[in-house]
Amino acid sequence: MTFLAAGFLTGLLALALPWWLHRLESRSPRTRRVSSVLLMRPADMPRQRHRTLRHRVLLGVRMLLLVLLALAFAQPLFERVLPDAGDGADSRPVLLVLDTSLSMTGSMAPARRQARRLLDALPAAVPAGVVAAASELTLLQTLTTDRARLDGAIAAAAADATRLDFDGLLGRLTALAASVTEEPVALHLISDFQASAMPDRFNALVADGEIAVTLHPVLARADNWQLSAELSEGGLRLVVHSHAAEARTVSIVVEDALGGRERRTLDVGPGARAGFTLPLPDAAGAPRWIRAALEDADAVPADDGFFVVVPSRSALGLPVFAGAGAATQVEYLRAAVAAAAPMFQPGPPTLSGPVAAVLDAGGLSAADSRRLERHLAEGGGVFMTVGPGTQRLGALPLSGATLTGRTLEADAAGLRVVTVDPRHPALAAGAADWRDVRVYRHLAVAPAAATALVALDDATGLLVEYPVAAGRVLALTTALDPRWSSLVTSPAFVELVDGALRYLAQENVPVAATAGEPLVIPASNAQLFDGSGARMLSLGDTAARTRVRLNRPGFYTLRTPNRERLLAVNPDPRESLPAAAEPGLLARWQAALRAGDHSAAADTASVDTTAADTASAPLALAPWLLVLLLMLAVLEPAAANAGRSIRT
Amino acid sequence: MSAAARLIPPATLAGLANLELLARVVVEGSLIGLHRSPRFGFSQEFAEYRPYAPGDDPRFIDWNVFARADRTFVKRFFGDTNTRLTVLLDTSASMGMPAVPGAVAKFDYARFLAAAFIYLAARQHDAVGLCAFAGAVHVQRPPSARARATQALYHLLDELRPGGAARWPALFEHAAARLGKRGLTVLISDCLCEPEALGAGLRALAARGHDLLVLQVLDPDERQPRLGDGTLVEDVETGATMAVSVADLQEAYPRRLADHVQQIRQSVLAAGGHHQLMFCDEPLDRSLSAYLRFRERHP
Repeated sequence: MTFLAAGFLTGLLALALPWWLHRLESRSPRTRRVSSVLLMRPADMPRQRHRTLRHRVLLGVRMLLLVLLALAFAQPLFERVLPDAGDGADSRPVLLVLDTSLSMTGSMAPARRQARRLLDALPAAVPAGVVAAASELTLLQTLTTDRARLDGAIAAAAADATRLDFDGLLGRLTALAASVTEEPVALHLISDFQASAMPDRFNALVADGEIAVTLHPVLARADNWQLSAELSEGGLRLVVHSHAAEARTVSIVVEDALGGRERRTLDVGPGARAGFTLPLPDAAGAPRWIRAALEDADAVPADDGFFVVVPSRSALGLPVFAGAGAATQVEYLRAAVAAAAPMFQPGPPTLSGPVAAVLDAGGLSAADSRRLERHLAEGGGVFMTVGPGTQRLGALPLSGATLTGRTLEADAAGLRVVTVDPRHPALAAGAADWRDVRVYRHLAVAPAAATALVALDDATGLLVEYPVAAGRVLALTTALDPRWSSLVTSPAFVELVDGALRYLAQENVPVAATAGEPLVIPASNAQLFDGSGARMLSLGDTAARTRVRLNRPGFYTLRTPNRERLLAVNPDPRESLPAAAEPGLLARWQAALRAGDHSAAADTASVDTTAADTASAPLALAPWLLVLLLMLAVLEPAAANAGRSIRT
Repeated sequence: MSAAARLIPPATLAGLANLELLARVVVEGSLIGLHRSPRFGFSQEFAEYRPYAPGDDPRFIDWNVFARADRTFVKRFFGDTNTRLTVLLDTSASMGMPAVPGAVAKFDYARFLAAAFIYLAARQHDAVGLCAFAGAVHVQRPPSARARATQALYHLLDELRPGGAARWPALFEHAAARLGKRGLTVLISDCLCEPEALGAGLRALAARGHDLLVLQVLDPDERQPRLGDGTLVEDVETGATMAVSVADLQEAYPRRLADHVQQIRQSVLAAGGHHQLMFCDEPLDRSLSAYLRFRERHP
């Protein structure tokens, strides 16, 4: 806020009111006509002067009241030189949190200087720690009084390509601090405080707990050009975003898996964007990946490249194994696949793809069973239903599960679905309503070694998953037949078929991801390789770990027992936006944090790319103005009524 | 007329449009309230016997006493008590205060008093005259005992309006020159003037044999003006203005007023007159009672 802010100037118009009233009062003194002034004496001059002085003081107090009121509502900030963070009066352990997200690439030097300045101001006996905050919190140095180690940790802090979101950050920091020490800690957050990283809700910025937080904004105003790409029907659209104050001609080099290399130049105005579309050949001749990069260096190199994986457009075969009398089930399955999962092509029972469908598993021949067991052993997936043949068999083939012998026959009411696991990838869509599904006949299977993904109200599973060797079996314990259940006529059926087939074919792995976001490993015994071919997962991780964060942009290869997929990881484009949060927001945030003695105000620093790293602190004046306002509000009637007495 | 009429407040009397009626109400009520009637008005009333001395009028020798006691005594009567009453009415602008609607101004109160005196005097066949003055004497009616003249005085009083600044030397010069024979002179004024000037004029009148009665009429608000601090006051007669302080008005002014009234009283007494201080919220009969007591002492 400056003193030329419209709101403040409008508020100052209210000054005219007391000025006018006082002027009116002074111009028109109360004149009373009396019979004679013979017995009256004029007020002595000192009294007159005193009255005039009091009049002017009163006018000044009233005008000052209004100025303060307008100023308080304008929420001014007072820029002051940053005091030493640890001013000696606070002996709490200090955690220096450095924002190491992509946007800090050009600001790490001033951020480190700020951290060292804070460190230097700390008493020697106060332990400190260093935390790098990006998509994950990394404790670079636990609490110690060894300044050399702390300096080393600060020097080691480097920006990566991930994103830091302030939504819930303090909660995570509080948990981290609690894991480091049981004492209350003073926390200094050094960041560029990107506007795009601020949550929609202000409450998400505040955390409970005994933690004093001081905000230290640093901002490097450096020119940056960001490259992004988007696949569409017309080809690959490459766009260069300018976050610079000057126009520039940029060169873009595009390489693809087929060995193609192309160089394009674009004129990009300041703050503008420019791009072109790269046509892609048809499905057969399309490259598997494309890599584009800006040739000219800028302040943030991490967003100068973009990696694209072109998804395969060929359909996956879906061999359908159906027993005698399962024709109805086949028809319903084909209809659902055609409606919801056209990437799968139902066909004869010839195993050629990652997933197979077995309808009324009791009708499988021994040869088919062996082939499917091999398929599962190689990490394949099987979608299975039951039927009259399975009922006669008394067991669930391939899964090794046995039937409990309890079969619900036709019933008017049927069984209801009571539980659906929305976290399972096969059911993750979650849009379908299972409450209308009624199951009239189903085969209860033994729960051993199975996970019930959809459960009925008789505590048996309707959809169960069996891990078999390296593969998986999703078994529906009813038939795709309206006489068995109303599932096939429910919208949930189409969603189930789509989700189950994608899950079993491991087609729910994305081909693109954002750096720092967790990637769900779709199958056990999977391995992840980065662009250089290095393994990302340890041996233990391959069996147990289901999520992994990919922090560096580039291509990754996910290899499962029967498939290999390419994954492109790019930085979050919001990290390239240069806009910082409003100082007023930071001041309110700081005020809400109720920081300790030495952290009563938010700190800002206007840091340029050359040398300026002088930090200053905007002190929110509104609370002090309100206190002064209150004092004047008490003083005003006292001044106005001084010397007056109540006449009885 | 009941005794309660004595206590009729001036504000109520002000509602009577007819001054003569007003005067009658006041005077009758006042007379009823007296414990003994005044002795004037009985011009043939026996007073005393005194031994005859050479030079006495032989017509007043009581021959019946001479027959019984063989001594000559002169029979004495109270003389003729008819006198000349002249009302000097102050019509200066200060008498018009307070100019508040509904309140009895000093001038109204003074007019009521004047009417009451005229009525009372006419009732006992005294000759009544009127002299209204402000900057100069602008109304001069010599004393007359005629009923028509009395009626004319009522009308005259009714038409008078306050205005102008009082000039006391001019008044007393005029009065000394015009009043002529000795008589009773009633001065009705707020006496907001220098006591010395008033005293000098009164002494000049007294030297000519006039009996003096000074009725000083003040407004209740003049006992302690209700003014705010820093109020600018303006003299209604001179136009002089000054800023006053509440502290002075509350502390020193009442003392100065009391001193002023006392000085006025001393000036009147020094001239052999009688002084009566009245406030506009007091019943009018107090002044009449003072007048009657005065006449009792000066038959």
